[in-house]
Amino acid sequence: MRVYRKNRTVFYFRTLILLVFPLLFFYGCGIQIGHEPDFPRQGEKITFNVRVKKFSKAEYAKVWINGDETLINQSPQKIYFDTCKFQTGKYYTKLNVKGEVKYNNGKIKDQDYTLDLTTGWADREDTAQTYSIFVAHDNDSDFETMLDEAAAEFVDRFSAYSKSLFTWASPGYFTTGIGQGRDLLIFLGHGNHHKYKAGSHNSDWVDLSTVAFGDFSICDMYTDVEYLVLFSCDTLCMDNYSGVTPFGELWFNNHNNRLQKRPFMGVHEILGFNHFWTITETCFLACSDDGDDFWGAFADYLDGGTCVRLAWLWAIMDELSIEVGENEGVVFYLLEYENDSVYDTKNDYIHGNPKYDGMGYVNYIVVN
Amino acid sequence: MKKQFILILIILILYPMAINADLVLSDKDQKEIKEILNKPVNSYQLDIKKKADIFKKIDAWIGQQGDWSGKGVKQIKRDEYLLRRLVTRKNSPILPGADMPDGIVPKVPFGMIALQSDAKRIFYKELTIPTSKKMANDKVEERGRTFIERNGFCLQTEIDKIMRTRFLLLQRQKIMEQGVQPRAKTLSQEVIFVREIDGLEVFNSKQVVSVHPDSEEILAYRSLNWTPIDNDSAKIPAYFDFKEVIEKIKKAYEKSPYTFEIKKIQLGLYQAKNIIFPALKICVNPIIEENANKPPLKNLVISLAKDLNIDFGESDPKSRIEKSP
Repeated sequence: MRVYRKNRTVFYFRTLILLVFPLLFFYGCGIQIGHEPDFPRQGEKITFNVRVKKFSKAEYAKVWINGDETLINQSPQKIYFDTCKFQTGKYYTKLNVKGEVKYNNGKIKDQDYTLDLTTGWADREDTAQTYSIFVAHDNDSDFETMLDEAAAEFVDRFSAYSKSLFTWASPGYFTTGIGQGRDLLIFLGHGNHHKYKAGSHNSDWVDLSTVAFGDFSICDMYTDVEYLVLFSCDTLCMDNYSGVTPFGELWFNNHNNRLQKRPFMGVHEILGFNHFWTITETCFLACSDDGDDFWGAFADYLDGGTCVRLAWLWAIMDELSIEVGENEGVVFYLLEYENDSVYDTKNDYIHGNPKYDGMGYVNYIVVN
Repeated sequence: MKKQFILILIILILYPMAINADLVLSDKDQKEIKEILNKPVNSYQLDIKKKADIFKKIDAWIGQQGDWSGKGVKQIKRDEYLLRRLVTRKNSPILPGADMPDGIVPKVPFGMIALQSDAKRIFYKELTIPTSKKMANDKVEERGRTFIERNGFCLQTEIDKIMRTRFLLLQRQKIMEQGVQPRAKTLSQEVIFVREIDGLEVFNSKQVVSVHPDSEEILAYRSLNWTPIDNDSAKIPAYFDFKEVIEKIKKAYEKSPYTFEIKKIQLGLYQAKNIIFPALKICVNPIIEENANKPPLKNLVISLAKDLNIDFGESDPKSRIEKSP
């Protein structure tokens, strides 16, 4: 009886060894691909960390990124991949990553996954909710003062975010990371079709069709602006003149412009005017502008939690005089953000993401 | 030496003229201003008690639109105003007539905004449901007028009444690629009631009603600087003289690099905190080359009355721009 028991124990032990050993062998084999950053965006450089287990027993190990093959010569090994459209000439919206290792015993192990590059940072990449407001220098000192005071009215009233900068505009702010960590950027000054004049000289004109503000904006340089306000004439003009690009078209990343920078690369909403803006100055004991009230009302609605597009359009309708061609407010946005207030937190999206492609909308005021 | 001195003197005189802009006041413009200054216009004290009665009605009506005392109500209280916002799922349509269709049934919670200040009452529903329908302007006006009159939100008298109406559309359009222009849908239609006293427009008074063209319900109502007047307080104030008025107008544009011409001169009234007084509105156009960039326009409203005790309320604090980084 004891012998029987002993035999049974041996039997179980041998069975266990036979079952577990292959599992242990396979557990010790395979290819592992990790990447940094964890959630890469279009424009970023991605580092793939490839680790091949029992590399010395591998016949070969390879990694394919969107079909491009890399032979693995050592383990661990790093593979660098640049998704910057300016560097690569390609606009990557996703990366198909596949790794494969074949062992001397003929066993093949693989790993594959897809990286979506069209989802950017969440609404705020840091805990601070901040905004900056910029006034363009102008040869007309009255005009400059008027804009300064209007901006000051907003600064005095708006409390949902903390103020980062209230200063003079500069063309350089459109090509550097001035918007880094700021959720709302406001520019006041002169404008033209998809252009903003960031100073008093002709060289200060900035063509918005050549810059970008979202968190995918420029390779290796991120701004992460959610809301962009352009208090300037004609900048957001929707008219389709010959030779002039309607602002809405900048939304699209067509084959022709896909490699260029675009203002909508991750921005949620852009607010401005279809044509001209006009302010009425009241000069009694002292002079003041209805523009001051406009900025106050806009700030109040934002603070109250009204959705951003309506805060802009309501403030215009209530506080500015609207005529044909004057003070016709416009807001461009993605449908995803239609009802968002300044307190909402959402991801950013670009071309290639279903929440971006074909999801651009515009709200505007017209005289009927 | 003497010649050089004269030359420098001429340059010094001409230099400011060269950099300063001008406002071109034609003979016709000057004649029009002179005629206006010869036209006596009454100023009126505001009737604060009647205003309180009307605002009480508006506040009571806004109070019925939702539970403003609930936990979900956000309040912003500052010295001069109170702004409240509540989020609700239930839309109780505001229908001025009994023969109206059903209101909008929201699929998601929506916000309502109520703002109270010394001279304003504002109520908005954040319901922006796009529709292909559009109401005729006269129908929008009728809805708005019925709403205001039935609720007693606007005290009209023989001399103080709704003068005319203006109409706006709030539209939504899908952004399509070049060449494809989808039809715009309407979010709301706005009727603006402009005020007249003694046949003259009050520049800063208006009442606005927003109507949804599909359900025909009222989505928003705003009473902006429309305070009843004390009819017995009519008084013709002393005017500034022609020279003083011209000086004021010129001064408003003198620092601009552009030259302006007058587009429109309008005699009207302006409501301050305590009084309504005669004022002059100037709309201008810049004189620029055909393809040059047009500057933003600054229209001007100046008081014609002097020696009146006008209260413009607390002036807003003006923080100045910081130095560039």
